Amino acid sequence: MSFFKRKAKSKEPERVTDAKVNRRLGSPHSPSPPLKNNHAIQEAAGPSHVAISAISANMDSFARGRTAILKKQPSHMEAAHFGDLGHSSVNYQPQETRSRLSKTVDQVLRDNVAIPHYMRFMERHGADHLVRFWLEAESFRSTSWSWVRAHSLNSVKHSSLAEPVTGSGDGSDLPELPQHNSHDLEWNSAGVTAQPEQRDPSCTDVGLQPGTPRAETPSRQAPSRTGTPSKGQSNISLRDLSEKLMRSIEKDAVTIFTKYVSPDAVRPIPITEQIRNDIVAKICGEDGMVDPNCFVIAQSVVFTILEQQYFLEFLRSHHFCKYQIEVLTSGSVFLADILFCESALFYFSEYMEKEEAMNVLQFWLAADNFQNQLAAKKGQYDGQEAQNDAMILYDKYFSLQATNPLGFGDSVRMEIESNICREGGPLPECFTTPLRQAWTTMEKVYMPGFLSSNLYYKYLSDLLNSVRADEFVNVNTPGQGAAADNEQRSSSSVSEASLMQSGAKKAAIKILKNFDEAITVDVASLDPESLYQRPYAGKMTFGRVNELGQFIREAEPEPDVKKSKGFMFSQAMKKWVQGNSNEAQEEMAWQIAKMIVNDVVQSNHDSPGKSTKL
Amino acid sequence: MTAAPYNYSYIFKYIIIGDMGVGKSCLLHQFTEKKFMADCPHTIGVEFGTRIMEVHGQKVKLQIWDTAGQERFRAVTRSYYRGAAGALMVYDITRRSTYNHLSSWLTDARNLTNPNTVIILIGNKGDLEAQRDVTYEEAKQFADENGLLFLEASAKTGENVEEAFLEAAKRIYQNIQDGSLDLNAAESGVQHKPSAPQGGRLNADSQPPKDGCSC
Repeated sequence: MSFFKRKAKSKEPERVTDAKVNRRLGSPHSPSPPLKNNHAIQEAAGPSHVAISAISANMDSFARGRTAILKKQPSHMEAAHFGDLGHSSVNYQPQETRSRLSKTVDQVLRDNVAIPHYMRFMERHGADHLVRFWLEAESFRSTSWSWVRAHSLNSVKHSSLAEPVTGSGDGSDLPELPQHNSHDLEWNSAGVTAQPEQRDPSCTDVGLQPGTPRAETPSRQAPSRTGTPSKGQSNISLRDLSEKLMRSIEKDAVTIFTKYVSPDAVRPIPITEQIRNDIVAKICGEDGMVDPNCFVIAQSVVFTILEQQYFLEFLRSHHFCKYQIEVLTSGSVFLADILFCESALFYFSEYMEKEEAMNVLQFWLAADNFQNQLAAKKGQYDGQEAQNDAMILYDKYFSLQATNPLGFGDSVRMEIESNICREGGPLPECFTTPLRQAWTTMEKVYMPGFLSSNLYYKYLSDLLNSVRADEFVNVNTPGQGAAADNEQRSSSSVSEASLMQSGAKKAAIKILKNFDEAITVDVASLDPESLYQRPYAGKMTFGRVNELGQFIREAEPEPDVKKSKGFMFSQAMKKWVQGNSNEAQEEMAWQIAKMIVNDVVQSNHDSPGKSTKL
Repeated sequence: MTAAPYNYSYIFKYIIIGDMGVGKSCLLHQFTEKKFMADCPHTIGVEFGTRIMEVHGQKVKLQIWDTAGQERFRAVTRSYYRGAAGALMVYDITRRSTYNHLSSWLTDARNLTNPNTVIILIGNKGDLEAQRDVTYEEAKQFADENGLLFLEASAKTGENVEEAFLEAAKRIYQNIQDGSLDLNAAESGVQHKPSAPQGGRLNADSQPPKDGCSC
């Protein structure tokens, strides 16, 4: 059976398109080359065959790992859909189809990471009671329905034993509830002081009447429980517990009504008198039962107000930027977070262009849009029109004469050909295989590089600057002032660290320069001393012999040279140069002589006292 | 022609919107490739083009998102409106219905883009004067009433195509200079790129080479 039925053509297709399709249908498996160039967008850097070959190789290598990747997907999807009670769309792709960076009101209200930011935004606008009401009413509705469901299934005993009377709903059914309740408690403590509970007179009357006579029942029958319990007694006790649960539900409903719906509330939600009366009627029903959906209409009204009057401004506020920074710096950013968020896609597309892989992203965007708009029609679409759209993508990316070939294999191309030329038109998932491969390529090949690229840090920097700029404008609020101080402190500490590092580098450079200069000065300071040395000036003797027998000359070696004054400069130079060389030779000779003398001294150890005179 | 791939100071994000068949993709192709593309297939979802041009002495890279004009793609293409610095709203001067639908496109653009987004109205197919269905004065009045820039262009002859993109870029650059467009906001559709010859591959700023010893 086919899920999708072909609908009669509502529009007459254009003649040109019809003619084209007829020509193509003639030979579907070997499409004729297009008469003129198809629409082709070249990247700034131009297509690179090397990159395309690399992409093909990567696709082939990752084909084997596809099963493992698909196994990883479900846990990720489950985590993403945590608490998404209203999620009912059919996924034509295994990938996540939402970005945590792009939010609707419904998604924000069900995301525990985003709710605090949204609450702060609404507090600033003096409308946080709307969000609180919606959250508490939603929690009440879910809890009540779980209890009603348990009661109707004759499982009152198990549910009452499993959880306390004042407890929240079953964790297995509604895993989101405990966290919601914790949020509620937190906000209740921080919010406006609730005035003492006041029941409506009619509600009080209804509540008190059945309670009074039944209060005596448990004490009267308690002693007989020790024996064999009869069916009558068991039924009575179960009924009593269910009554307690119902009274608890009623109490919760009255609490919410008093806080938000009643005209006497501190800050009532803006609903009409008719809706309020309807809520009262549902809480104080004639049968004493509280309708779990008693707040649904009011929730809808509040939801509309949140969406139309506040949410767009929230998306442009620094609170949303803070939330985005929190997601992007959590260390677990997924490709879905980037592809389904326009601002992140702005930076990612720039990165893909630099990597010369814009074709992959282009194909994924176009095919994803094609499948989404087709799936949105739920089978009621024009098969011919869908086939025309699909053929455009095929001709551009898959055909043997494609203008932007992606390097898919023949098997993928033939699969797509059969999917497109299916009787009744292509199905929304006709491009699922290449979409999955393109997704995997972007996720495994390009996503890690993007997350460590300058563009990603620029994106984070822009978000941080948005937060800082907004907070500077709104610095008057004291509550936000503390958060602003924390932000500024952390950012200033980061900048201080960088400044200190640069300062250290400069200090090192200075030290090096000083060291170089010191060396230079030392070298320079050595020269004047040697220029003024006069080793042979002074005494009148020609020389002397030291204790080891070395002759030390103390007179000019060539006194006769002084007569010719014309060569004084050359004489000085010669003396200087010869002095050095003589000293070197004397040093060597002295070393040898010292060795000889030591040997002689050791051999004549028997007569050390005698002193030999030459 | 196009400068080196990494030699630009800004990136502006543009979107092109308008009815199907008015010539959005042909305008983009004429702008990026300087060629007219006859008998081009209609756009599926969204397509992408880039080009670098000079605005007030600054090299600016335009990142242009060409959206499908068919009504069935409108829901999915709306998601690309957000974060655009400039929007080209195109109609066909030979088809009055495309001009009559401009109010709807303008409403979408106003609701889904930033308040600072520069919107320019483009009357395409200016070369088909004999088949003109919308006068210049009428469209000019519509543009003035709604605070839009306005130009008539021809993707076939290339007339005013470059000027259309340049006019919007100049306005965006002017908004950056006078501070009305927050350059550092992530949703502004503008990326400021201080000159970095190495491009985006480095993880950290490249350290300047140490000064050599004086020896």
